[in-house]
Amino acid sequence: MDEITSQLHATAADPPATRIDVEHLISTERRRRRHRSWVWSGIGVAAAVAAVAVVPALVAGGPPHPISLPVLGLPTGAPSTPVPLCAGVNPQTSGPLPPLQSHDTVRTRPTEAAGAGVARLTGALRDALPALLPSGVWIDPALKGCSEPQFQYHPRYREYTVDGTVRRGEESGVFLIRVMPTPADEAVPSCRHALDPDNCEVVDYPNGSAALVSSMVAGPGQRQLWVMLLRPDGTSVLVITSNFRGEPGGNRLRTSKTADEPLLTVEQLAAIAWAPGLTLYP
Amino acid sequence: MPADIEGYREYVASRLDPLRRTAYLLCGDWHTADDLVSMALVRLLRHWRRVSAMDNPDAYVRRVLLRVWLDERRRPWRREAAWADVPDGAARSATDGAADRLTILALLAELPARRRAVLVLRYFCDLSVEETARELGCTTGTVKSQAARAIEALRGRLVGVPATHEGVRADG
Repeated sequence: MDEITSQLHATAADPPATRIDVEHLISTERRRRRHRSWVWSGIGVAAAVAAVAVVPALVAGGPPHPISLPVLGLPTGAPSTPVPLCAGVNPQTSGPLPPLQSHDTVRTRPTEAAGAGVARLTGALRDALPALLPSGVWIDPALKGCSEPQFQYHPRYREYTVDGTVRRGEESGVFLIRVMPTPADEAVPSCRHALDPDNCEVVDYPNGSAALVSSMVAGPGQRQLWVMLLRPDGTSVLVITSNFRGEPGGNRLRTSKTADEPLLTVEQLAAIAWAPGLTLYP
Repeated sequence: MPADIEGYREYVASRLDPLRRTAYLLCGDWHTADDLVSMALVRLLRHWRRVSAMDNPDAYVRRVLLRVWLDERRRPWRREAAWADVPDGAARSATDGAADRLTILALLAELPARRRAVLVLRYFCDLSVEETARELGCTTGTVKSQAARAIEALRGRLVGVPATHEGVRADG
């Protein structure tokens, strides 16, 4: 063996115990795939990934204010009237599709056809929203050609989402709902699964459901609010809003305020998550 | 998430140690080495389905590790280890193993990044000139000249390194 080769091998001969936890890498990557771009909805996926590394350093606020979430009835029936759906525009991917989500869920995945699921969930949301939004606040759907919020089904992720902007006058903010089967490894509510584990609260309900409530500060006066409701029937409903938007700028994420405060409170987000009919197991 | 997650686990279990050692020689400290390997393993996981079907997944992982290391070095907050006081070769004891290691690390840290990478790939990972060129995306001539300069730099500082070292390996 050459002298330089033996010198290099000798130099790296005594490694300390590794800090690398492969199982943690795997579980983190699973969560990242589930909680993909919509965590920072309104910005690109690449920026969202960058934000995971950048934004925690910006967090300057303390824990969220004490929260008293509503205890509402569990979802019941279908929407009261037939739901007019717009065709919308579903963008086609230009690159390879991400792998199909294959994680276990707490309950067998629903067999409802995607089209029927979109109609049913959309109807339930449209029925509930008017009573749940504060006066003067409305949802501007991101789905092109639609005037009202409408769910979309994402086959690769096997989840339904509503993406849009919450507006009141000139003020606005990100608004997003996601409905999916609760992953098996998130069945036990834990702040480890929250947007910001250090700014999170678990709220348990007598009926066996639980909500994770979290917030994150992205800059002065800029907050994202995050509520994930784990329904006892095996449905997970996530609702997000914020009062800022982010744009990638080089290696940094540039954020700008879109409202003085988020236009919805965590209590209002929770009420939306509890809307009757927002379940995958009607 | 890749379906063959068990295959990923097995691969990482078998390659983690050499990957950490390679990263250590590139960056100079075990803490950073673990960070670099973690980042490389995450990227490997994201592409495991494709990489696991490759003839040589090791080459892919090494390339990712090199890329991660080079990217990290460009970050403004990344500080290279201060190796201002490289031990003088003439004053060293040839039997002092710990000093040898520190000296090698210090000398590696003095080398430009790609020259250091050439040295590690050629003489630690035991890659041929052609393989090293492929992993670094350069020509074989560049690998030979970079290796020769690296050896030249080391030769002046280390006792016992043959003067014609790269001449022997350059054909490899």
